[in-house]
Amino acid sequence: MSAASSSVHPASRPRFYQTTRWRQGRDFYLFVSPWVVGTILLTIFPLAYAFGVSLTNWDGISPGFRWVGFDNYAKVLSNPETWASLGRTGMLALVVVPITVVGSLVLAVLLNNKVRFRAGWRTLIYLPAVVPPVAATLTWKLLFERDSGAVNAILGLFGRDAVNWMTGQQVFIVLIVVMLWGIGGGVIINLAALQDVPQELLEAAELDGAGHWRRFVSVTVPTISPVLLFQFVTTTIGVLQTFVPALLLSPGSGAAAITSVPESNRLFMIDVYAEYFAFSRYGYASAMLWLFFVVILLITGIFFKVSGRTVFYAVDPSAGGRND
Amino acid sequence: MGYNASLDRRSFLTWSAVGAAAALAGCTTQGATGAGGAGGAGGKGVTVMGVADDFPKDLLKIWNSKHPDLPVKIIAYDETRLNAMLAAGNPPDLVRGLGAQQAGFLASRKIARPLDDYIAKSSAFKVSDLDPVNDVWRWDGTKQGEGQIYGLTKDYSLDMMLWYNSRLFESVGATAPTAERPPTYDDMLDVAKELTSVKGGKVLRYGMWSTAPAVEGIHAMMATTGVPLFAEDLKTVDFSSPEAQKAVLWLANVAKAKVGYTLLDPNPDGWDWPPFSVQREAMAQAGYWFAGAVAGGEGTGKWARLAPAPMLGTKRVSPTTSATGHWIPTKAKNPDGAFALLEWFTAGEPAVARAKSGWGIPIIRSLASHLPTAEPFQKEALETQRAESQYATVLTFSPYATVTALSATVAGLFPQLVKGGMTIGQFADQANDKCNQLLAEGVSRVGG
Repeated sequence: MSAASSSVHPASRPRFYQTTRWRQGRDFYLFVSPWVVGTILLTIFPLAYAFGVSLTNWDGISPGFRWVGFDNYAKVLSNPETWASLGRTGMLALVVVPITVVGSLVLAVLLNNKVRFRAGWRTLIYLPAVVPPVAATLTWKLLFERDSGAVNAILGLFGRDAVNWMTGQQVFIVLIVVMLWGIGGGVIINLAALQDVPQELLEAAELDGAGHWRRFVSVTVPTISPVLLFQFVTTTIGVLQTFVPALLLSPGSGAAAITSVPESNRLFMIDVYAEYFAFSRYGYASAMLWLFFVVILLITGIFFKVSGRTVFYAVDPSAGGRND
Repeated sequence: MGYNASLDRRSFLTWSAVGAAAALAGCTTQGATGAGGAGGAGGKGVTVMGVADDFPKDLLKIWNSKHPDLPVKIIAYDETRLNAMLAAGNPPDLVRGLGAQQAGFLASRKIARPLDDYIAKSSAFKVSDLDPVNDVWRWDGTKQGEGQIYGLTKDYSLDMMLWYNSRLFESVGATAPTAERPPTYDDMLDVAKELTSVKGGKVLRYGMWSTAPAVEGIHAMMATTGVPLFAEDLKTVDFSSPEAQKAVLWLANVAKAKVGYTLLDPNPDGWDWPPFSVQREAMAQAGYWFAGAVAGGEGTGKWARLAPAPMLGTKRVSPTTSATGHWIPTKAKNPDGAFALLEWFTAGEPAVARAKSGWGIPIIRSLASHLPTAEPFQKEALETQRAESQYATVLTFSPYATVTALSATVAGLFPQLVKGGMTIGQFADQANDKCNQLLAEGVSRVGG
């Protein structure tokens, strides 16, 4: 056998597009690309565009506008109405967020028990969450209508005078009711989390003599704490950005509706809308939005910072996703 | 490692950004504005931003048979969308608008196209055929009512006139207003107090029409005093004049008296017809056009009567504050097609149909002969309207801020005035500061 015929040829080096690593990279990027492109198109670009607009005095349609630097930001911060609407928005969040998170947890715990017609109860509680917010708001508006609404009809049965729910401080109560209407969404998330609580932990605690409440506080809540944090953060952001229900509870339509939003429902996003489309101050409104973005970012950051000691992850997030 | 160099994270993100930017560039002029359709893109048709009811299908069939090359696409009027389309340089070809309130605003920003050359060439009508009310669409650079024409009114009314329920007026022995003797605002407040009925906190009937501290309304009320709300150069307003304060205080008194829907007790229907038609409101502030609604109501013609515009002062005038019509954007893709449609809409079959329905006074004067008189109330309403027309006047609004913006500013202060949180003097000072700031911003953008 000649040396040539007996020698083993080394495997030819694979081309770069034939490697597993390249294929894995390609697949990864193909899968994430819709999200990345979407984020650039629908988030990064609008944010950058709004930031550019916030540095001008543009009114949305006039060809002539000029660069004003950070004047709009200074005006927003020095305007007492900014702080008033932020205060109202904060108040709404203070009321709605705890009730939503705690209420949805309580309902989920109840529905997690073996009660009769459990599937029916779950459906009933979740159903409002799938009703479009616009339809839900308009329905509540009809129910709270002073002269022909069901709420005042019930009050009338008890000999109480009708209340004008759509004005003054009362309309803020109606807004809270509308916001709490969709609590079923949180119930479903909590229910899924509750069903994921390891039974062995609960049984071990029971063997150690822990009662229902102790097991709930010391086992269930810590185990589902990441889900509760998620709900807390997303509900807070959602409530801070409340716009449609507050606008729909006013009688007008379009930009002119802004003139009839009662003061107690003049939330921050309502003011932003008014500045854009009623007052045509696109630069000023964009500055409001950017400042609000920063505020929400800070609040979210604080939540995560504070949650470090109270939220427990089954997988240590600092391990970079590895379960080792 | 080198194999992955062409697809690392950094290059992926870079190319994503480039792709996204390219996609954005492509959609800015079309997709984002959604104006692609009939006239927006290729000038093959006419895109109208307006109200579909203005262009009923049976009438559009007539148009299509005459102009098969100019299909009409109607998109619902939406101020936000219009702004986006204008900003993207791809506006509709024809837009609905309020001539009285918007002509100066649109013309001074060069958003609307002058129509004088088109009208001069029109075979359907001449400038002399137009009712003088259409002059609200004129703007000469500083003044409304003179200069080039920037739009055409479809039909109009004298918007401060009243409709009242004659049976309810009789029931409380109230003197019905006549064409010769217009009511005063204070008279109407007194009558409204008599006619309002509340039980258990629920309103069975309001005596007054729905009121709001809208700038156009205050401006119109003040017109009967001879003192305008706007300064002559239209760059400022003055709420501190006795006349302005009188108008605002009257509105506040209505809200305090709780005799009608107000900003603090909003009309759930948004306009007067629903409560008026079921006799839950004894009065409605609307011009002749309400006759169209009355004709369609069940038995409303038996008791609904038109009255002259109320007076705040002693100068008898009856203003038009809207003069609804259409304008053609400067950057419209198919202005010729748009005017052809507007010409037909103003003087052709749609104009005749509108005149016969009684939903407003036609802007082409000769078409007034079609206004309905079959029902006694229609005949009476037309007589009242004709008597009132000698006092017709067109109000001038500032081009430097929209009426919506000024009204929103005033509305923000009004509840405090009603609740006693501020005096009328304080209200006037704050309204002046805020409104004049808005107007100053407009001046800085437009020049003037």
